[in-house]
Amino acid sequence: MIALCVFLAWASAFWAHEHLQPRTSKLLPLTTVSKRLYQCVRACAPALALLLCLYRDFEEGVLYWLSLGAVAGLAVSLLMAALKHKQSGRL
Amino acid sequence: MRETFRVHMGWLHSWVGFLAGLVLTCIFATGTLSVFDKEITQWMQPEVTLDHPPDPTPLALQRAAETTMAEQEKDLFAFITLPSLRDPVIRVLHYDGHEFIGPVLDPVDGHIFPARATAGGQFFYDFHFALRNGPVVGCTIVTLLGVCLLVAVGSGIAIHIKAMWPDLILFRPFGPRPRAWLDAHLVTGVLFLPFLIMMAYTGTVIRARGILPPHPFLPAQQTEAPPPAAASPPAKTNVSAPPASAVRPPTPPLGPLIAQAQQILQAERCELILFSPTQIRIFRSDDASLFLTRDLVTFSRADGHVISSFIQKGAAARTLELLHGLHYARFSSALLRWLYFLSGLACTVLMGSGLVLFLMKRRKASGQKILFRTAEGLTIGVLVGLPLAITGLFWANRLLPLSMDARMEAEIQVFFMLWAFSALHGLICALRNTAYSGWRAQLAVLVFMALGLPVVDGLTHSHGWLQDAGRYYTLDALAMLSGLAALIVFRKLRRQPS
Repeated sequence: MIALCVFLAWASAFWAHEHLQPRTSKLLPLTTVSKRLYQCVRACAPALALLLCLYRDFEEGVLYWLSLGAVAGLAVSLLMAALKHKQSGRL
Repeated sequence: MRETFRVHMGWLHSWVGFLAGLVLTCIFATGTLSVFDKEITQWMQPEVTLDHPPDPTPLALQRAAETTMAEQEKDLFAFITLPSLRDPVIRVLHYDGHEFIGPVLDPVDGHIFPARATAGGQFFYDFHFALRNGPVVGCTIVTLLGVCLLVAVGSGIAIHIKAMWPDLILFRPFGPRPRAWLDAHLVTGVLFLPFLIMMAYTGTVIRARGILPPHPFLPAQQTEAPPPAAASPPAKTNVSAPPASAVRPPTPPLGPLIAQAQQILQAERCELILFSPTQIRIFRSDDASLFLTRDLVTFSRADGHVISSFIQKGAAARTLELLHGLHYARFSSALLRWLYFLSGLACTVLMGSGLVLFLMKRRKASGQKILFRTAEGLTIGVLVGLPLAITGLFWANRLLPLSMDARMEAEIQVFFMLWAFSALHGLICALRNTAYSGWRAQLAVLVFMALGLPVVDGLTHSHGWLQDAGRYYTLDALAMLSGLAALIVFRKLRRQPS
């Protein structure tokens, strides 16, 4: 359960990070409020994930944090690629 | 100035990355499989049933001790590995110069399973850390390649540092082909950078003594270290046992000794039992934490009294244990092992995409040169030939007769013959300027073999449909996924010849 939360926290951070990039915001425009929200998520979600990981075991926690982050990043990367492809097909 | 630096780093990254990458891709692929070495061994020995609790009975321990003595009578340095969460059987193993192999015993009644002779997951482990060239030559090559990997990673960071943050997860698989490959290289490289650096650094540090000049301080320190544990392969000189003429006293019951060792080491579980003519050494299990420990208790073989205990406590020793533990990944957490596996897979993709990019960038300028064609042939041998050979090894495990002489060696020969054939075919196709058809032909064979592995596994009736289903079906499913991935690449190549 904790691992799933960490994965989701990382995934939301990567999702927010990609939406804040100019190349993505051209395709999927953001309002000022959602931009602020995404900036908060990008900053806070990895920290929250780290807290969740270190809660039980420091050494293993760091490993979980890094590896779940990498896997979440890859998953969001593939998802964004599919979304952008779909979006650019519509335009 | 900055651009010149990037250009130099680009040159270094390309050439070190490609030349070392041909072998490093194989090392990473086999290392990734080694994360599940015990599980692969279990898949390759379906005669062994794994539904017993991990605590061995006194009868089973007695039988294990007798089996060990019988193995030692054959001049083999045999030792016992106790049941663990990952491998709930007793194994009496010896090192044959490449793998740890030996009889498998039931932890309840101690009978020996009629398991087929196979190198199992240990084959990938040996290939990963020594390229099957022994602890001296092979390990030295792998360690030097580890240094090359660190150089390639460092230069790669220098090239990409400016775009690292904005392009953190940028992947355009539907874009032009070179762009898609570059994105695959960058996205795996950036996201799995901590894992890559950790594995490259720990892997190099573990065997660094092999490439460093001798220092008078280090041998002196070594004499104070505990005797070599069986989990890290001993040198070939350790393979043979003490002279057969040495009189071996009867072994005291192992159950009470294990309980005593657990108490002294304050460990939940012990893992290894080593025998010498006068002593019995019991080692703490290292599946409970990230630290790969070699803490042990030494007992007298004559009457079973405690002679000494060895518990590493210093900061330096603990650091070394952590470095070993991070690389060997012996911990029992299934989630962490899967994350290691996925990370290893991603790093293999990183290296494979790097090899493809190297060829793509030079195809226009050097496509007709013999060196380029040789490079492409070798790349086919690595990127398609290695998975083909691995799948072939699994096919051989199921199809070779159980009673065959030198069955284990035959399995390994199938692996190397398939790989050699693939590399040769790739080279011939590339040299005849038909590399494209070489890629396609080998991918087609890989698709057939990978998708066919679950069928072969099912048709050979080597295990019941529901017996340890998780272990068998996981490997079968992974083989199918590899087959599907190869099929996708095959279909893409059919559409876009270039």
